Amino acid sequence: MISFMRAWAAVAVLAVVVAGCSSSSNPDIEPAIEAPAAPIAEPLATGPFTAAQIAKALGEKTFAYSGTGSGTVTFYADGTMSYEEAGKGSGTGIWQASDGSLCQARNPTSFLPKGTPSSCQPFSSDGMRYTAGSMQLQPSS
Amino acid sequence: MGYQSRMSLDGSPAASRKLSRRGFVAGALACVAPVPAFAVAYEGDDPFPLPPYNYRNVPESFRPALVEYKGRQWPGTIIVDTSARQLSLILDGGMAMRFGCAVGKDGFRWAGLADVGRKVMWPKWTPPKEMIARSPEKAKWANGMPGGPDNPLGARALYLFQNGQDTLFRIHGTTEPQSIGKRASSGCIRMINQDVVELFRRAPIGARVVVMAEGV
Repeated sequence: MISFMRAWAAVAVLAVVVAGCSSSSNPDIEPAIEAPAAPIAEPLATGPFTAAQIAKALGEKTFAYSGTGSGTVTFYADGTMSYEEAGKGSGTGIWQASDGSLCQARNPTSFLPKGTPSSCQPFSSDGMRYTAGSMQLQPSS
Repeated sequence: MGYQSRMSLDGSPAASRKLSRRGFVAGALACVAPVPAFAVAYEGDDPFPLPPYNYRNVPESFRPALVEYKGRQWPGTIIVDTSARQLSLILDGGMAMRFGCAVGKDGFRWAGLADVGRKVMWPKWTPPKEMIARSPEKAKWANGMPGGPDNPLGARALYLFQNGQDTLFRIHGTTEPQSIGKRASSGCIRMINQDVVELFRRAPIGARVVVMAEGV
């Protein structure tokens, strides 16, 4: 008789536990809705970079640049680029990825009458921005 | 010997045309600024005038051709398509002069931008120390091999500069025209002598050179 009562008590306890576990499925209780997380910028890949990786990192993307002047620059997949330099104006140029380096040259403009010679600088990243020589490139949001 | 133009630089089919050499040159001249006077002087001063080249044994994709160009690189830019082993000089009017070339062997290829910093006719060749170490028989030219028909740099050389410095890479002619279209050099861009003469005439010092990375 005692063992029979113990068995019933165990079943009762189990029922309470199961009921507790399933309470979240009660349609009367709204599940908690998590607030949408603020978009987190995906960390940039860090080097060393092959030419293909540099081309993929920059191609068809716009960056805010600083270092030698500041402004925004867009690198196009066809090897051309356009930029807007703060306080000066817009211009175009060419770029090419090299293993471990980014090569750039700016075309002549009114504020840069001779353009710039071809220059290749070591390309790296700290996970937040890319660096090519003295130029820092921050992905534009 | 005629030149043919069958493909545009972006790979799309273009109208197939056969051009005589005279037509090719005339067409190209119509598309570019007049050749500077100094180029004519170079041609007249050539100590080793070259006969016309027989392209019969050169695969069609490596023969000189006037082709359409739909890209955005400025006229005057030289583009080396390393994968295709083709060199193109961008002209005005959506056209380009395309030539076959040889590029670096495995481990010797490179990519990037450069400027033509110097142009030399029948250049002297001085093998770098690394080349002498690999090929000791070249040590006899450690102080330079005079320019001429036997010189591996061929009829002309365009010296490529980066950051204002000589890269030691050149676009040059060759004594091994059979290597055109192959991965054969130590990083330089080789062309058939007659083709590099044509490029030399048209590309000024300061011309931009784009050496495209492979697989990008």
